[in-house]
Amino acid sequence: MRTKRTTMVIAIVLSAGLALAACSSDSADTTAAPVETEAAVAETEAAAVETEAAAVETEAAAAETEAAAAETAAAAAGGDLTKLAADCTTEGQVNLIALPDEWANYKGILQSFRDKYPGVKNPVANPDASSKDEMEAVKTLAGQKDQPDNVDVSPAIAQEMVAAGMFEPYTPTSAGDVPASLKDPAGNWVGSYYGIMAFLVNTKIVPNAPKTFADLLKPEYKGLVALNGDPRESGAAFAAVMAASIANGGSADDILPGVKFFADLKKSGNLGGTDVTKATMVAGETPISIDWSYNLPGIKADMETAGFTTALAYPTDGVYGGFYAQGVVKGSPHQACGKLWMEHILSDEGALGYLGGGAIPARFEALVAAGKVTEEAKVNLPPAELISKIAFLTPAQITAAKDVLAKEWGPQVADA
Amino acid sequence: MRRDRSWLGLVPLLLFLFLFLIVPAVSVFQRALTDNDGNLGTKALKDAFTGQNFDAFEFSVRLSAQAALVGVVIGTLLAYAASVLRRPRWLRSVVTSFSGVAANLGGIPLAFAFIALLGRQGLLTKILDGLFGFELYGGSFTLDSTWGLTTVYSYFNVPLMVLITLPAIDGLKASWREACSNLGGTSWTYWTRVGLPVLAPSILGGFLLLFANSFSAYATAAAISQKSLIVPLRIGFYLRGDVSANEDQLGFSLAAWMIVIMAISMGLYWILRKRAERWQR
Repeated sequence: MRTKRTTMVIAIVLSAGLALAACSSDSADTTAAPVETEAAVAETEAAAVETEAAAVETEAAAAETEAAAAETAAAAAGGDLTKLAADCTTEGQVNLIALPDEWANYKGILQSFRDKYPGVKNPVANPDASSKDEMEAVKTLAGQKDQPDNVDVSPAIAQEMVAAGMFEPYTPTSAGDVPASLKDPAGNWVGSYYGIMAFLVNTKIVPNAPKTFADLLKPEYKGLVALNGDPRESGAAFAAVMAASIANGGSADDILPGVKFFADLKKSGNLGGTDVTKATMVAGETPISIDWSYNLPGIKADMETAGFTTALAYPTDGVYGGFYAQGVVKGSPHQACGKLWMEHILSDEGALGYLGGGAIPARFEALVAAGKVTEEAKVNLPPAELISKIAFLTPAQITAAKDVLAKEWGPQVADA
Repeated sequence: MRRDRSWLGLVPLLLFLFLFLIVPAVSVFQRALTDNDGNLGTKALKDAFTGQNFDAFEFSVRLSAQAALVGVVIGTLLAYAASVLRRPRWLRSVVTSFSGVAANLGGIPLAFAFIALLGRQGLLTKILDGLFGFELYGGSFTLDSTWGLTTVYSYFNVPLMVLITLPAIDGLKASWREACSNLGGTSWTYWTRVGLPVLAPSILGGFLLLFANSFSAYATAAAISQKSLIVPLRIGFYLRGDVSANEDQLGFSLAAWMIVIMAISMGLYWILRKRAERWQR
């Protein structure tokens, strides 16, 4: 809501407040950190800032005589889960952020965590936050008890966080099943789920649903196509442009054809200016929405409840896989729980949870091989032949594509 | 002799201004001048006011001025109509209380209301098409075009203008008009020589306020438009984007220029107002 007089002031204050908060946290990082570590050791429920300290103090560790052995095991190979779970129960909570209920079935995954570890709370702060917001929260809340213990961020922001030393390296026990392109070599993060671009079409408004990126150019879709955000800001829109690029002769190293594609779409009037949200979709304002495949099954159900008929299409001409990276935040208040959450999202329950929301779990192949994926569980998944075509971008390719977007998207698409 | 302590009453306000206006504003400039490695430099400030970023400022200033102008004209006329209104008595209080509410409505609820009304699947769009065969989207109109945004901004700008000018218009005394007629003045003379000069300070003030209102609108604009020519949205790209990395400084530089532009328009307003009020002394 805006106030009567001082909107300008508020805008400035908001952006500046962010600056202020970030500034103060910077200084906290450098000056106050050692003090905090000491304090944490002194307290009995010590937020396990250092594995050593935690090992000495928790009940489980009291039984063990060799804390050092536990330390190396826990840090390097994921340690034994029983001890981690016990440590986490002592901490009692894991601070999560930016996990919307309908995103990749996080609602179900959060619930299965609570069922598995009763007594451990898992509140999600600011469910609709962007990756950048998450990073900002980690910075500004450093040293406070509500600092996120775990983040779920886009690969670009994950790289930034690695560079800033914000992750506590941790390799979950099941990380061996995760393809190399979905995990950081140094163990900073793991991408535990991924998806491709899909179209959710309101067939009450658009009876003849588009099936490919090329279809979107047809005159009959004038004003009906909507992108989930701006590719310079939103990971989903970035993926849409990348996928469109692949569909139009581009590649992981060349996003420009995707920009050209959307420029044409804008010129023909097919691309509407409105951002895709659940509200616009349920209102019928964005009849053809381009978004992650794992966001759409939930919204599809809501649209059907609202009285629309829908069709979900996976464009076959542009397959681009995108993942989000999860990692434990260095020095966060609940280190054991942060790690346990990693274990959970990569466990069979977590993986099948993602599957329920239409996301492809990182351990998909291992699960299929173990016969744990039923046909029923695959109902929200893109077709297998598309999944096998998925390729991921390297951090360098992401940076290059981003630079092109920063230069070209404004003049060619957004402001044209 | 007892010292005058009446300034003490101002302390809370000054403290508030210091904490929530001065400190953040200074910090915006500080962050605009420091890069990620902590080095001082004006490169980001320069980048923020050249190329695409400059285009954004140009567009935003133009859009805000247009929206403010529309708000000033309609709002002043509406306030005048409400002021001379005698019957029915209740209508005037309805206008003022509605203005009070509408001037404060904004953000996502307002944007969504307009999408529901004038969007491609909007109620009014469908009614116009169904009853009169008029296709709202047949031409170049879209909600995120300049005129679309002006329409949406007018929803809070016009009522705000009514609230600002109504007291001033009420202050126009009937006897001034009679005096003007007695001296042989026409209605035109009255308005150009008496009415508008008296109203000028509040109209100017209203224009500035409406300009600031439109210039800084973020949530409303973000929900309707994906235009990166709107400066607050652009700051958003740099500060909270999923994909843009390490460009905070540019975001803060844009914010710094916004402060500068607001300071300039405040200064202009102050000078104009001085001139407009000269006759009062």
